[in-house]
Amino acid sequence: MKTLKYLPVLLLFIFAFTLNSEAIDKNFTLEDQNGNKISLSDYGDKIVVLEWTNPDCPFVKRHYNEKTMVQLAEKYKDKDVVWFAVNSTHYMGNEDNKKWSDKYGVPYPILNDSSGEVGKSFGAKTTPHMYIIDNTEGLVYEGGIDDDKSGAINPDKRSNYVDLALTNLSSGDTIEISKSKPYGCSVKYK
Amino acid sequence: MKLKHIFTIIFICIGVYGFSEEFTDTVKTELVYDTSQLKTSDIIRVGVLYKLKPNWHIYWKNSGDSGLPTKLEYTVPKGFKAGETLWPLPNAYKRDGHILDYGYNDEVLLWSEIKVPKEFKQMHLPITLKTKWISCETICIPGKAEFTENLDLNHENKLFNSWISKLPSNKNNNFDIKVISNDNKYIIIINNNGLARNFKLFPNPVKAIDIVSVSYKENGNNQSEILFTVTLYPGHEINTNKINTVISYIDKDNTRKGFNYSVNIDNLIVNN
Repeated sequence: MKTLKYLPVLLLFIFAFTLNSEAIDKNFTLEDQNGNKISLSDYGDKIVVLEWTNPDCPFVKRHYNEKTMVQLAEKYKDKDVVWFAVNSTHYMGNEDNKKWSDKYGVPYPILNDSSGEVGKSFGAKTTPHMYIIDNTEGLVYEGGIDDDKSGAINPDKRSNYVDLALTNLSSGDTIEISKSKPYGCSVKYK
Repeated sequence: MKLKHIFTIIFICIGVYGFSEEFTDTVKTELVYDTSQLKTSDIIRVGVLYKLKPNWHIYWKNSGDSGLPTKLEYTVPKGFKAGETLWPLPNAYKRDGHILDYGYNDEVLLWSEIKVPKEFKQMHLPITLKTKWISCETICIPGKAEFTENLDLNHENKLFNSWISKLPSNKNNNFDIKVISNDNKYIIIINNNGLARNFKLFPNPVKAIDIVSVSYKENGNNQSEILFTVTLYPGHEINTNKINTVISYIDKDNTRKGFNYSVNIDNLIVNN
């Protein structure tokens, strides 16, 4: 009898879980470089970009020298897009992230995932490794930032998959490329 | 003529790779070459010997989940032709987070065969060889080196012999191999006849296709299995019905060997 009483709540939970299971499964709370707690679920009404990063990685350094991510984050900040960098490097913490943020004038939070739990839950393999989570469709893009792993192509001629996906989302179009092979250094989990 | 050895302390520069300047001694490189084949053929072998610090590795032509393939670029006089880079059997490096890379540690020789035109009668060949790589351990450091040499065309270097034996063969050593597939999951079944073990798969790089979730099984009936899933990336044209791979194994003499093997992917399901 008691079970029947709670059945509607249970059914509602199961329904909500299966409706948007990817977004709920991957909810997390991490600290940013200033010690503020950031929960993914607080941004359910936004398009969220997650960028796996590691300041020690030459691929990441190249992109930050070229301002690839910073400029993209600025481009879409007024279009309901929030950008987070996630650092799953096991030997780095808030202080390292703060130094990086200050050095490059990073306008978005860098989240401390030194335990690697969030990175592993997303299957993040490289730095950078990009994910875009839409507020209605869940995970809509995962993969590389662009098609130029060696940095040999003129930046103006690269295909930036994240820019393309955000453009598609902003204009209500279907995502043209939902998946690409990520490239970079391996994520330095423990 | 005395063999010239060039040891280059490798440093990272802002170059085609666009990485920031750093200094590393994780990799030492040396130009090596052998022209003894000119007695019976029209090719010479020219390459780079990479010597790595312990626990560091550089990458194979398919670096795997991370890293960057090692590159060699030859500048030769008109009429000469440098072939593709020859890659000895690579190693697999597993990292936490299901990350799998392919490459080399300790020491590796990468080289090309250069075709010498019949009409070339001189005894020296000017050549420039550039190489770029990323070496990784806990961190990754890009590096590059450039060699400009006047090669002596009467120069033997037996070092190449041991590395030639580490190239994958074009024959599968008479293993009976079959492949079964279902829904982008593949199993390569190898009847090893009790003569080989520890089979490993190394897929060649293909832009639109990735081989993931590789695992291995040894059955009791002298059968080895290589299981993997093929992932397709949208936005790229798939203009092949085969995935080329290298399969390595340990033979009954405990020697590591390998062969090139093509997996038919006619039944691949394209998921966008």
